[in-house]
Amino acid sequence: MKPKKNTLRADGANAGLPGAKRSAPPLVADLFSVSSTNCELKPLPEVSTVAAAAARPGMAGLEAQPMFSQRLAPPIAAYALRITRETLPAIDLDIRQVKAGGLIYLEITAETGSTANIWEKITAAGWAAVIVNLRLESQCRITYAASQTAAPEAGSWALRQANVAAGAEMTWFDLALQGSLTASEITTYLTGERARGAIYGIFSGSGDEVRHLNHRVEHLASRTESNLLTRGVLGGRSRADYRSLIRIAPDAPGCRGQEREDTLLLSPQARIESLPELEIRHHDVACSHAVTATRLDPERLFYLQSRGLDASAARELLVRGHIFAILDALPRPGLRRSVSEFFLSRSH
Amino acid sequence: MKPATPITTPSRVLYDEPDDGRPRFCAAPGLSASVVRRISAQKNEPDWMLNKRLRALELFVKTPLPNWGPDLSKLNLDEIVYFVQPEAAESKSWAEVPADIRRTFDRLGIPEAEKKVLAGVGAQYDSEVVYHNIQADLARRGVIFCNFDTAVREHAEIVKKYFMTQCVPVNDHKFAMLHAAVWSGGTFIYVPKDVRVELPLQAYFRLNARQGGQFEHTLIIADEGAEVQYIEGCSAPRYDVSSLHAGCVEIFVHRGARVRYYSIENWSKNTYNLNTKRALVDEAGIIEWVSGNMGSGVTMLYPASILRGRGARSDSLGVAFAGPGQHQDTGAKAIHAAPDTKSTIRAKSISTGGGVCSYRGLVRVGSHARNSAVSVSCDALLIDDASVSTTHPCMKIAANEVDVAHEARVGKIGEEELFYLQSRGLSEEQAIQLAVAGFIEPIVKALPLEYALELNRLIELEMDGSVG
Repeated sequence: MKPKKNTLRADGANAGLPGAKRSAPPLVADLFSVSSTNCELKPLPEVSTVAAAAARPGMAGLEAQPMFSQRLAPPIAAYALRITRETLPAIDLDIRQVKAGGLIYLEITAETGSTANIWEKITAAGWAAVIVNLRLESQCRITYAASQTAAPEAGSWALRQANVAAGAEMTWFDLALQGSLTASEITTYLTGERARGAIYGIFSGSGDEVRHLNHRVEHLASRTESNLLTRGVLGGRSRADYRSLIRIAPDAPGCRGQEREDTLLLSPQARIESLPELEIRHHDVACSHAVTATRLDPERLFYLQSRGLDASAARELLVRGHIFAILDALPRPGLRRSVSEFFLSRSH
Repeated sequence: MKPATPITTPSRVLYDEPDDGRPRFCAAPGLSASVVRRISAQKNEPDWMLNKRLRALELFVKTPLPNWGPDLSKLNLDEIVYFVQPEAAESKSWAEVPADIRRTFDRLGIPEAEKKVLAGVGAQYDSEVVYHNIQADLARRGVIFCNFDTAVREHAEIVKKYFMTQCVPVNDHKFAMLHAAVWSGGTFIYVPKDVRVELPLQAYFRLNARQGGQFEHTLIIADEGAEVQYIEGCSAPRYDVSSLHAGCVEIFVHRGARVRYYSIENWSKNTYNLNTKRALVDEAGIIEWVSGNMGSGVTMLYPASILRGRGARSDSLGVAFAGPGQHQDTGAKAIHAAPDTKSTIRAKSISTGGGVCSYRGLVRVGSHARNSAVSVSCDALLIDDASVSTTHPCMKIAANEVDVAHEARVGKIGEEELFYLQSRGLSEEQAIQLAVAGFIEPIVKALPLEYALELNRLIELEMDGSVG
């Protein structure tokens, strides 16, 4: 089948294109757009309340989430996205605008053997709430990068989860860069043998910004592997709360998991709270975790300045060095550039 | 005197058997104001202490059980006997202690330990210290080492100032309230300015009554520049009803002082060990915690250091062992409230036969704690696939001129290591025991010799039959 370039818009403006229906309930106008080829996007009109979303596969317990409590409930805009082996890997999800109190529910299914590279951008001017429910069939590789660069006075709540079947690989990038408050919860369920899950994060805070990150990997099958790595940079009076959990089920031998979080504290008023947890119920395991909180090393600053950099350039270089491990791993050049530029433009 | 059982042949029986000690006064089970009044009257306590007990009881009744950590639902607080007084009054010499009580301690190797020139021995049998000895020259240098009940009578001013006021206040948490209401016995140590006690002081606590509660209070005050080491061992015989240990340790490390506190807790498997240990450390003071948690059904114990003076330091070393049916919820806390403070925490745990080990820790660096350093590392070893290990380290950092690092590892014994040891002629069981001994070695090394032996023996004992 010959690939066709489609730009599907979820606001109904793309009616007539395959996969989108005019009957899509325009609950939230001009919600987001998806650009890719040969992926199928269709509305899920039956999911119109938080209760209905909680009834979807793998979403049990959603109603108990404080971030999706009643005041955030309807209206819901729900869509299903299907990724096949024919889909061109680069997929952009652009969440530009959400009406006050609006909530987006997105269900993504990746067929056996498919590959995709998803970039979700929350650039909304108001508050945005997002639920992403991913299902990876066996042997597929999905990378999902979520970048929150909402307007400085706005923020976002996000709950994202993936169910990963045998031999599949799920990589998340959680980029909490801007917005007065961002709360992000990511859970990967490794349900098939040899499934792999990675969650990488960068958080940045300045002024009075608040970041909540909660990353979890549940090892439910044997020989599964996980890797969690997050780097944070906090300035001003910003605060971050980082939680992570690797849990190994009793019947999952041969698993490996590691978690690490490093925070760079640029100002004496910035605060970080970290709680990286491990819960291991099988002895055939190798797990580790590590947390650090440090300042800019005065000796390194001095060294860089002795080599001719001025103080602010030296600082910038060290901040960039702190996040580089993740910056470098970002899957799309455009994304890498935009995160890099964000850090250049930001004075912490 | 020769101990009844040589120290080299351990057997669980040695720790598990109750003696037919005849208690002189035994309070009815359950807790009420009248029980508290009777305990206080029995001890001829001053009014301020009775009032403090009653206030704590009021708070205790109002406060719910903690809603986190291990399961406490099987702990029936109404069935616990809150005060048991053995027949003997405190004696100064070993020969005066009644024979059956002496036998218990003989089996635990106490006089043997004393022969190895320990500076003093205080052993708490149920609720009162029956034996106390301190070398004459320490007394001459002004060191006070006595039963806590005696301290309340003879050193009232100092006890009133320090007892459950600023270190562990009466309203700290549910089991601190309980402790304050029914505490009995324990140890009081005061080391005057610039006095260094070279040899460790020692006490042994043993819970003997059925459904008994042991609530000993330990208060250690090291005045400016003083130095002291204190060793505590704890055990209880095995009965088919649960018993409770809710002790409290308060340590004051004044400017430039140094205190090292060791404890090996080996309560029997149906004991709830809900213990509170805390140190307040002033300028340039050093507190060192060395703890081993072997026994108990459920342990909740997180020795805490509050570093409130510039340059104060805390060093915490712990090993926990959980066998079948045990839940060891242990860890350490370090609160940095002053500049240039430093804390290190090293924790090791071993789970086998379905045991659960949890590390639960808190490191808090306040905004005044400039230039502080924190290092936390925990390692867990899982012996079989029924066992569980969890790690809950919490770090709250509110200052940026700090260096904070935490790491943890969980794993099994290396297969290559076991294969190598077996290829050298060791049985699988011996190989595992050797690997476990190597795993806890950094902690054992920090212990005085006879305690290192005891810890190793206890772990061997617990591991016995857990393989294959």
